[in-house]
Amino acid sequence: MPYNRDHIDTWSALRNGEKRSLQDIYNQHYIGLLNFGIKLTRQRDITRDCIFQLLLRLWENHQKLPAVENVRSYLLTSLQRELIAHIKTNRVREINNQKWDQLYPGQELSYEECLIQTQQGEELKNRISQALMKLSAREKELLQLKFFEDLDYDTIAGKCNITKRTAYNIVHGALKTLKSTLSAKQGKKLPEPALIHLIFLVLSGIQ
Amino acid sequence: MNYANFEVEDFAQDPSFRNYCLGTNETDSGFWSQWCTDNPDKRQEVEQAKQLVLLLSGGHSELQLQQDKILFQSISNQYTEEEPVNYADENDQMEVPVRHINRIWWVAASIIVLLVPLYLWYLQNEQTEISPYELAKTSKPGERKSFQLPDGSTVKLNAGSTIDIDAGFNTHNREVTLQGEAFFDVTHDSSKPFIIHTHSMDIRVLGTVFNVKAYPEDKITETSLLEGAVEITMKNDKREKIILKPNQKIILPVIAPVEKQETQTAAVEQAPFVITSLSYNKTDSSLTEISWTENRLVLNDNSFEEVAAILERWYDVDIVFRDDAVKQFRYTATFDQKTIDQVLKALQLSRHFEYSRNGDDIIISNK
Repeated sequence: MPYNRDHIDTWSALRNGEKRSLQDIYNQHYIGLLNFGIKLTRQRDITRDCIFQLLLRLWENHQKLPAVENVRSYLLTSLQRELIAHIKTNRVREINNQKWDQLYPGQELSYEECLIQTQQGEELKNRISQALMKLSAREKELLQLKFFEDLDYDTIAGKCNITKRTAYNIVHGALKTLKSTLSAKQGKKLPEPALIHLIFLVLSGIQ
Repeated sequence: MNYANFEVEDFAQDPSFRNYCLGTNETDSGFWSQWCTDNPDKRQEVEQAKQLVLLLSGGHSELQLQQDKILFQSISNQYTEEEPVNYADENDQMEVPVRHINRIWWVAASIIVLLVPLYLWYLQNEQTEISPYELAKTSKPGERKSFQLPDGSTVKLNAGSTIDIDAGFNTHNREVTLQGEAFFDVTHDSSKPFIIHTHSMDIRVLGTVFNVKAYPEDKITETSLLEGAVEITMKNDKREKIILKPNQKIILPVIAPVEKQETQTAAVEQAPFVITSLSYNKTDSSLTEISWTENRLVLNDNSFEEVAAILERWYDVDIVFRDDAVKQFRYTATFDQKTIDQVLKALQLSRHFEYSRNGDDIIISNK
């Protein structure tokens, strides 16, 4: 499987102690790491803090870091360790606070649950979950790999044993379905920004 | 690449567009902001694609992602500070070209940039005696609004604030007048600088994210910068120009010097204004300056008198003090969607006072 060249370059810049690389690593991996952690712990703030801690630790130890080909999976494993360590040290306090269930959920959240739980308002939640239901399992899997786990098409193609073109087409189709189901229901009321824009258009037309 | 024929799905699949939505690459963000202003007819598709990308990427809001990024930047800067931080390093894309330009050209360019909108404004006034339209947005006390300006910039308006949008907005200039507090995410457009007029300072920007607090009844005016750069001009001294860097805020006393309560060393004391870094909430490390945009009421070492003014706007109530000593109580607290009674009861726990409430009228005394 081909590995992401940019990721490898940034990683070696980090090993050389180039300060800029820390920011680049953040940009390349933050979304992927954040979503992975939230899926695991259901806690956005804890996940974010652990990612920051992990990245700073990498900077501190940059001379001792190994050469890595699959940077993302290295970081995911490290984050998982970081999260477990965090949860363990907070264990006693968390039991007392009866937050145990939140930190040790019975099982991981699913992709759909992750997307829906962040939305505000029941109506919006329903709309999104209904739109997601129109997708096939394969489509959802690929959307998750592409957007939620933030992988590139080379990696996705390798993982799913399909060609890049096929992966691209499946995602394309899924986006199209989502677009039409979401906008069909949105159509009823024009959102406020669009309305203002319309007023401006009309007025500048008069002028 | 020809983006003109792109559909929603194509935008959402494009890696550089994705970087723009998630704020993970400055070059891509700049490119797409510019592209959006150049292609207003594609606005709806772009907006839809952006929403899809954000939703599928875990449902994080743009603001959340921006806050995370700024927070990480400031933490990692402190951490890597063994070598003195060279600010230019961080923003080399923006700053390097500037250094190669001869100073005189730079001055000439700024004069032209300043004169062109003025000339256009003059032309417009010449042609149409009566301004064709004027738009104002007002949020009542206890109410917060968010909306988009015709150039794609977004504005969140805090309680009891008014924003007047200039008649020629987006056609001739990008000027607004603000009374109160607002959070701006300004679309990049170097041809039309975005200018915000307040009673005590003018803020001139190209494309950035920042918060302005200028309530006429408050003793201070504040501008907090999250991203990019802004130039501040004082109303009482037009020659004074201050450039803010990300993560800085400027505090300007409006009436005479306010009692020197808040820190700051002797060096700054003569200056009429103070520049400090933004403050973070100790418990969840969010930025206190903009927590109101997430419906959180934050008190940061405010006197009870200041707290009362904040609460009056936030809850649309009237607060009267029966006792002057109580006004000096100081509070630091965060309230997440609490009622006015819950807030006052919580404040009572920290320093004792009595209050009675009759509808929207609240009387505070010290029994």
